[in-house]
Amino acid sequence: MPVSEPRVAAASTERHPEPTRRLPGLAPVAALIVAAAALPYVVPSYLLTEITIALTFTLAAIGLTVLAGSTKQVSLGHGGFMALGAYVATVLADRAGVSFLAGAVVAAAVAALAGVAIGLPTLRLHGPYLALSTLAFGVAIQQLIAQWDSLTGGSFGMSVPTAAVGPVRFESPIDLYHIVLVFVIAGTWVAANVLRSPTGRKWRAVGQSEIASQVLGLNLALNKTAAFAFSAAFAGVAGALYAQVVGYVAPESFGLFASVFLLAIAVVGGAGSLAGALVAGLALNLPQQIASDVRALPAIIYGVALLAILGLVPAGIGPGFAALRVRWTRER
Amino acid sequence: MSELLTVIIGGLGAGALYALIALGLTLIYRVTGVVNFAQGEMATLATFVSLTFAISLGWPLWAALLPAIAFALGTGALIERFAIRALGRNELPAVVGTLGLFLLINSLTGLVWGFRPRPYPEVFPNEVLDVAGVPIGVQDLGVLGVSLAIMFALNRLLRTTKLGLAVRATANDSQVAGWMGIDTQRVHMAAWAVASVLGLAAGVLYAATHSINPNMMIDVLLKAFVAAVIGGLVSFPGAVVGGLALGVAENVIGVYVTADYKTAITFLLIIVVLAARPSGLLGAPAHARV
Repeated sequence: MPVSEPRVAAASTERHPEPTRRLPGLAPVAALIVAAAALPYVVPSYLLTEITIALTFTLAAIGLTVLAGSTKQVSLGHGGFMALGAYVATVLADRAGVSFLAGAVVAAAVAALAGVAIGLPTLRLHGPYLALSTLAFGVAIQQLIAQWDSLTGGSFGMSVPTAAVGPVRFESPIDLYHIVLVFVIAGTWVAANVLRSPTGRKWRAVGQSEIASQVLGLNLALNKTAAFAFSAAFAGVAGALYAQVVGYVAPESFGLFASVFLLAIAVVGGAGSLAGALVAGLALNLPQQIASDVRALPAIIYGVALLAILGLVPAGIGPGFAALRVRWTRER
Repeated sequence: MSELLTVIIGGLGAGALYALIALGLTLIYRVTGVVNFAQGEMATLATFVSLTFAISLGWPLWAALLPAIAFALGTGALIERFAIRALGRNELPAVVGTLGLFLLINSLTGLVWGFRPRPYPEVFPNEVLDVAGVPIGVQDLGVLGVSLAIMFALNRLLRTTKLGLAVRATANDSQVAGWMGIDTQRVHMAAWAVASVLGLAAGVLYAATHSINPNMMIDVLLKAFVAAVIGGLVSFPGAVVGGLALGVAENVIGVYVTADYKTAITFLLIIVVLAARPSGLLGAPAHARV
């Protein structure tokens, strides 16, 4: 009988049935990856850049949806983690000539540390109080970056030196897209595996009932903070990628709106649903192209989508689709 | 010493706006249990309506405010009736739903009126009074005075009218209020309507002392959250005290400590307060039920 943290079984309780996490089969995933890799060759390059930017946000949203779906901590500050990642990687590259991969690792680490920094004081907070704290954190980070202008260029931002990953440079839209795609695929794979692991089950147990999981012997502080740091790391790497794709970072890029966009992607996709986050991340970002001179359009789309999803399919696209699939197979 | 007084009065002027928005937030939270992230945007939208009447139609400001107040009342009630009620009481949808409204209203406002700042009719002259050797801004005094008057009116509304009684009863225990014959659905709409007007007041006062643009209330909203949280999201006096104190603290820190980092410090403050007292400084501690 283990004396330290017990392994939490993946059984479901009667009142809150938890859908078993079935990974999609290998064939459909492989087909999807091949299709995604081939995308740049069928799509005009201005659209491709927008898709790539959307993918960086999607990567951050994947981290957030893991957090919101497992320990149920709703963060309105993930824009701040993206900002940290973007600036850490950029400053390292600009001042110290650090390579992108090394910079991304540091970015992830710094963001994770920030995740711990905000996760610890907010352990006892839930719902609106947690949302407000994380919101305040995100805004504070943005302000700090804007004020520390000797390092960060202040509100005017910094231009990002073009880096490379191995032999591939962050230059042509096609290369940018492929690099980011690799990170998104890798990130999704990591997130999926963590969610299915005993650690992921512990996090979900905490999310279902903090009191019950404490009774079972789970260390609340450890699990909640670890989940926060994990999701923050995703946002950090996403920020570093964003910096390379856009070529320029400024504090406004990662403010309140960015945090709200990220949460919107996570919620519309379904908290905890990776596939949902991927779909929502792309679907919410792309209509910008239809009327790109309408500055207000992106926010309108996010707002309408949020309200529509919450009203019609409150669980989000991912679980909604899964439920549809269950009904369809049952009726056959 | 006299400079300190000027700074404090200036802080009170800013803090009064935070307090007005925080009052709206607290009212909505106490009655309907929702944190309204769209409070600032609703205020901005109603203020723009008054701008249209005042500038495009050339009405005097006091007249332009009348349709704006009606608009605020109407949109507040309608939003509650159709958007909020449909979202239910679950934490995540409620929080995120008002965020969606925030995005929607902000972008609609920008779509209709554009994002560039515009001048708004001046309510108080931008002058400085000399009161016994102490320079005091007329605008600060004016904003503070009007805000206090509005808060007093709200207090009278809640304490002496039937509607106020219904609101307080519903805020206290909506189930029992329903049993006692109060139409809680209408009280919910009324709470949102009144909060919307409080927001309009803050919006107009801000626009009259700065300029008007669709993003003008975002910063105020964030600080109003700090103020409301200090009051624990459920205490009206807490929201007022929190707002005024925050304004003063922000100004004092800005002048005497560091102008650059005062905003960051203000926001980090909210985290510290909540970490120490998760239900806010003046809120009732919540006990988790198993």
